[in-house]
Amino acid sequence: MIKSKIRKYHAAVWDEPLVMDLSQPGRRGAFAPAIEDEITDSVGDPSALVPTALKRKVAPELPELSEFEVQRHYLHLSQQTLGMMGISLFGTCTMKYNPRLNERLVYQPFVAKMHPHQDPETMQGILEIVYSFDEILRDLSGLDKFVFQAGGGADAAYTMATLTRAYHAARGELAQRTEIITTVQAHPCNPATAAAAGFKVITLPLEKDGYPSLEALKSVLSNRTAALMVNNPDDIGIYNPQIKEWVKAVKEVGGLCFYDHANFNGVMTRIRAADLGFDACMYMLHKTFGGTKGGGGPAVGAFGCRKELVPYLAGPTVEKNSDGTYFLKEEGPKSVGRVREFFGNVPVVIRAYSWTRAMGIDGLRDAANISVLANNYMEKRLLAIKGVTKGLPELTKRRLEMTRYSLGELTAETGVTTVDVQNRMTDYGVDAFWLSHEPWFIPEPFTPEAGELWSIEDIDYWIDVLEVVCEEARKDPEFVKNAPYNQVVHKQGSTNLDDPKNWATTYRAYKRKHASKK
Amino acid sequence: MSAKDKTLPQPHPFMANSAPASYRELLRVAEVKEIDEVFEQIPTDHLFKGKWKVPRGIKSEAQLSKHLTSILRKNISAEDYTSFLGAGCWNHYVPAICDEMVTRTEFSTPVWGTPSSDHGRNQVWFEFCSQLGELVGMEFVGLPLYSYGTAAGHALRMAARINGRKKILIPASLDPERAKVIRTYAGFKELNGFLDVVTVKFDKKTGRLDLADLKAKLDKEVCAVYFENPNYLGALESEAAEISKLAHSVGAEVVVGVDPISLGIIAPASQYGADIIVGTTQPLGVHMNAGGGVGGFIATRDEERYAKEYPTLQVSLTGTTVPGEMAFGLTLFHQSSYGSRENGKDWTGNSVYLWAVANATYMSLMGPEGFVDVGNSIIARARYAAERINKLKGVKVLWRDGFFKEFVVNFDKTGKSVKKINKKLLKHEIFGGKDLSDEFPELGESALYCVTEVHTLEEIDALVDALKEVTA
Amino acid sequence: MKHRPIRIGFIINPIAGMGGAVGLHGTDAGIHLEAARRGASQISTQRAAMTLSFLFNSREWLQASSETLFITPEGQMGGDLLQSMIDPTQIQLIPLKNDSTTAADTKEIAQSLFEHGVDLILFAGGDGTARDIFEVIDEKIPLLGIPAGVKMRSGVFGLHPARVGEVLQRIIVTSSRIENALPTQDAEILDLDENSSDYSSSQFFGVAKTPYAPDLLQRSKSASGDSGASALDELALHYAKAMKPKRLYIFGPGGSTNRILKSLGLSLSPKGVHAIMDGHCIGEDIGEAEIAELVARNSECELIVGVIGGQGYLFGRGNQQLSSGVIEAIGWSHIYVLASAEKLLELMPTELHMDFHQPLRNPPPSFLQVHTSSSRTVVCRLIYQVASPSTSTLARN
Repeated sequence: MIKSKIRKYHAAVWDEPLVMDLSQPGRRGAFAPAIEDEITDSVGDPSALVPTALKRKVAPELPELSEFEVQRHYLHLSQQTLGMMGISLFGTCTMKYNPRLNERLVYQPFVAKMHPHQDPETMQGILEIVYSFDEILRDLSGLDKFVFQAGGGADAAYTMATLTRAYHAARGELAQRTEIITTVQAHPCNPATAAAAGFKVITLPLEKDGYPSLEALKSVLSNRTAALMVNNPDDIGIYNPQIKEWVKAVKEVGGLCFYDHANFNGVMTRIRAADLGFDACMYMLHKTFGGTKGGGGPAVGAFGCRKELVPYLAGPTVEKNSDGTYFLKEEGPKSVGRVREFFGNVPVVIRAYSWTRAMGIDGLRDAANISVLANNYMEKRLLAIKGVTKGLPELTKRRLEMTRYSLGELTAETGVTTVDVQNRMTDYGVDAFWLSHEPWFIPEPFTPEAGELWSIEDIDYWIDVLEVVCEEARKDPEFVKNAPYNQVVHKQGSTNLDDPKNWATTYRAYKRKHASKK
Repeated sequence: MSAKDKTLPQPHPFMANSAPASYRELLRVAEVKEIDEVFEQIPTDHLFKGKWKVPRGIKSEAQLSKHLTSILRKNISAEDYTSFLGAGCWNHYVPAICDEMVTRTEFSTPVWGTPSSDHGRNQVWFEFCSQLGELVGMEFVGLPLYSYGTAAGHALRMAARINGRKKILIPASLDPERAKVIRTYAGFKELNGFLDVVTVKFDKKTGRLDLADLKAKLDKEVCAVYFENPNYLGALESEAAEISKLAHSVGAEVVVGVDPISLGIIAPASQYGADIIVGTTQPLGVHMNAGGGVGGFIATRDEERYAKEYPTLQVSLTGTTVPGEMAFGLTLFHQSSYGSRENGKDWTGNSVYLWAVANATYMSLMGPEGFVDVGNSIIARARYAAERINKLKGVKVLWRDGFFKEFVVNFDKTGKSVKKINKKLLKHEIFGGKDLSDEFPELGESALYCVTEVHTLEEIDALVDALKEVTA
Repeated sequence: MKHRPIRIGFIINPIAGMGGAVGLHGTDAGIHLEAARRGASQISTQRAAMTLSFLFNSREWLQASSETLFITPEGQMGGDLLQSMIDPTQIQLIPLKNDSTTAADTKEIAQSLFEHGVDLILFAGGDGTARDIFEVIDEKIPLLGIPAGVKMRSGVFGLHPARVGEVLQRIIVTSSRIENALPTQDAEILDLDENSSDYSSSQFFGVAKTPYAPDLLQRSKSASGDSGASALDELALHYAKAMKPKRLYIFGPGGSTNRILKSLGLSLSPKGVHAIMDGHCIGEDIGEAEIAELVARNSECELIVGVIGGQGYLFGRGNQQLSSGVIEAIGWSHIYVLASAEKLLELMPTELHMDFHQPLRNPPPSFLQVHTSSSRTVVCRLIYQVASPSTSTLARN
């Protein structure tokens, strides 16, 4: 039953051309500082300073535009981006409010114009915040040290894979310990980074309880086991209650245990990685901790571990002197080295620190409660929509902060798929929802996550739009299949972009391949 | 439920449903009496029952702002002092419009979207790739990677998948930090996909790659030769074409790292034999952010054998169902780790896509003439600084010719350490060059100085005066 | 270069799907007479019309229709429907001798389409129809099925008639521009074993070609891609290289195991069991007795088997030669199972089944690792129920 008044919505349409096509010869958008006469007198013609063999002969075909034209072009493109301007319940990514205060702060020189190799005495403010946030995460996880070098959750998983290598190599066991175990419901970055780090990957599928059995895990544990990489709860909303036994079993054969805490929002202030026995864990500061997402970073996968593993951490770490000042400590000989340059996306750490201080321990508790409660609220309303079913419906315990649903019945009835529905919902100002990570064992999946940000009215509106679209699908499937209509542009055409004859990641390639169309 | 219920949330500005009435409505519809019911899946012995150290929330923005500002004010930035630090994170001018775009809520807060819902941002990404492709002279460009070093690491792994060889040659002059990242990506010999990293000496007289040593180390087992232009020590590899030729003669791939801000005046690596070009994106309109502004890219010719090894996501220009309308869709998604989990090409995830917005804006503002302009401004200022510094007593610029924005200053004859000199420079409100004495002991007491378009004549002269004083 | 129009062969099995509507299990083996008596309408024609209208109303059709030709039998097996929808110049009719619509007719038409040199055979029907066409066509021409039967477990079927329309849109646009062959992927042909009374079990009949559109074929996926297949090719090369001299290798049927044989340079039917030693085939398409004898004669032996899709059968479906006796003689630790990760993880639950005429003497392991590439495995629970005739009843459906 529809509760909201469905608004009239249409995306901004500027029909904005490619910036390259706006170019007019001779226009200038920016000048570098003019070279002072004294410098010219001293060094002569700058172009003579480039070795002859390396002089650029053909200018790049970049656009020539005035400053205002560039500004207006990118403003138009920003307006042609729906993102969080409407409602976005993008599951697994935990859409949060990104306080403007943080933007105001991190673009000031005291953050933006800092260099990572400055004398530590000149960067005490940054080091203090990084260290203080490390302390906050230690408290929330029970672990002993966090680093922020990883540029996202996947990079933190890679940090774990490399730490696993370093740990077993230091003990002379790496040649034997070549297997990393994960589950089918772990985010793809876990098996992918384990494989990229050179490990064999063993995947445990779900069984009747909605998670792999302890027995299945035990069947593959051996002295070849290097590590376990899992998340819990998973993004179907199911919590593995045997996780302590899992960790114990892996440790008994000498493996390390990594907790991918991508889905931390619902269990904040209830579960601590260390209490469950894990050796290491990862939090996404750009998701759970209120940092900006930027359409895909800059992000931070905060990686924490027990003190026994600290010597293996990627360096440098931020440490505190006895006099209360802070310094950067280079990694020791056992360290994995670096997974990325420098000590992290500092502005994201500052945003996360700020958000967490604004929330406080009481706010984190409330946020977790509201997230899980709102998901249960959604479930009641979503399952009342014809064509929507719950993933693994036989598991009746209440799901945590998200649930995976299926539009399989709607598809069977109308041929309209979850991707079609996703496209059509954007016609109502609702950003594209999350489907599912690979593999899709729940047919036509979608995974909303209400979190603590969205109001009950926003959640209702989202659900109402879905219901309206399901009705449309039954009335006129072709109409829904060809959506969107109120967006900046229409549905992407059916050209196969995996065909080398078609793909064009640059305009130059496009013009070469599709000259006849222009 | 009574209003005194301890589990009832307190209203908070970031949470609409923390209002008691909204929260109660959630409880009612969800048919929940006690909030613990929704956590029924979690065994009670998993729950934390201790005391937290994290304090209670600061709900007032004014109060929070004061708290944060009071800490961050302890920093001294490149705006306060004159900084000559570079070494992987460079102080270039960031146009105001670049900052405007990356702070637009539409660009800074979203997560993903579809080709039609987030059309504008996808178009920016395509413009980023297209313009970068123009600068580096390549037609296939992926979306950005975490950093220069990670781009190099992935590119070398691409090379290994392409030709099936295992040995990679990297210059001994490489940034030790990037070298560490590359070694991480190269893996361990006990495991799959291991790459054997071998270093090639650099010529102490020129700072450039030692071609004799390169020849000695090249054989049919070499998978790829990696070098940078300019290299970490600042020198331009003027024999780049020869290096590529030698590498190609044994069937190795040529992977070149570049600084895109130099490419208005310096030839793109595609013209001197590069097969895969990588580099940094930070100089193109992104602040240093204490190292949190770094980003990287991979670009190649538009050939299947390269395209099908990219670990990144890519956007392609295509059409919609309406003739003449542009859309930007993903190409080769299935080979990413999102598409194929552990069977994908390495992995990808959140990267630094917001910086691509700044980069695209920067390249559009500069245009072809702006890149020539900024290139000339940088190379002239750097040369001027080097010439003046080299005249100081006991101070020597190691390679006075053929560098772009960075150069090595040796202080051996002053009898003073770089560490001491830099400490003293702080009193003159100057961040001296990066200390190389630990990284390159063979260069003695040396520092890597970086001079860019932001350094005025007066600031350079002030540096020379200060150096004169502190080395005396 | 000027290329000829794309030629699409089109067959409707007008009696497919009739069983489902009236509570029968498929229309194979003459059940359709009973269905017709109970008054089922021609579901398959309606479903085919849905696919075709999706195609003919598309922009792609406007662009490329002049370069597309349908070849189809006259009458209710295709001609009638097409003639009611598009211009006769775009249809080439195959005359029929009679108006019956038996499996033999389907096969005869398939043969005729092959002789007409079609680029693709589009058909509306179920697993039985797919199997009939496959028996004639094998992998010579890609098959694309409009789901219109009761059982559509074969990999050639689209998710929904409209999705098949989308596949066709792609094909006609692509083919009008690209000279090289239609990109294809492998698809298993599965159908009921008509000798079995267990209606939930499928038999494996071979590997067909189908157009490359994994996102639109059954078991929809978020992205197109063949990473699972390329991972299996990588596994095949790796496995072939690591094979030891003087050791007996027994290959079970299926497309996956056949990849290893292909990388050994052996061209053997994916339907049979083959014995390999030192890179040579020492037993082609062998039966249980020959396998048992070879295993008895060789102390070192490896068995390589795939997984039959749909229900995840390891033994007892399409590989009955691999009897319980053979399995136990080889030993579980010498059994190497391979399958694409996609195929395995879409099984829900991810379990492997076994069904032997003679029960195993010792309990099998609870879990087996299935190899999805040379360095990746998925752990699968083994389900083994001692066969008794009473478990295989209609009630299980």
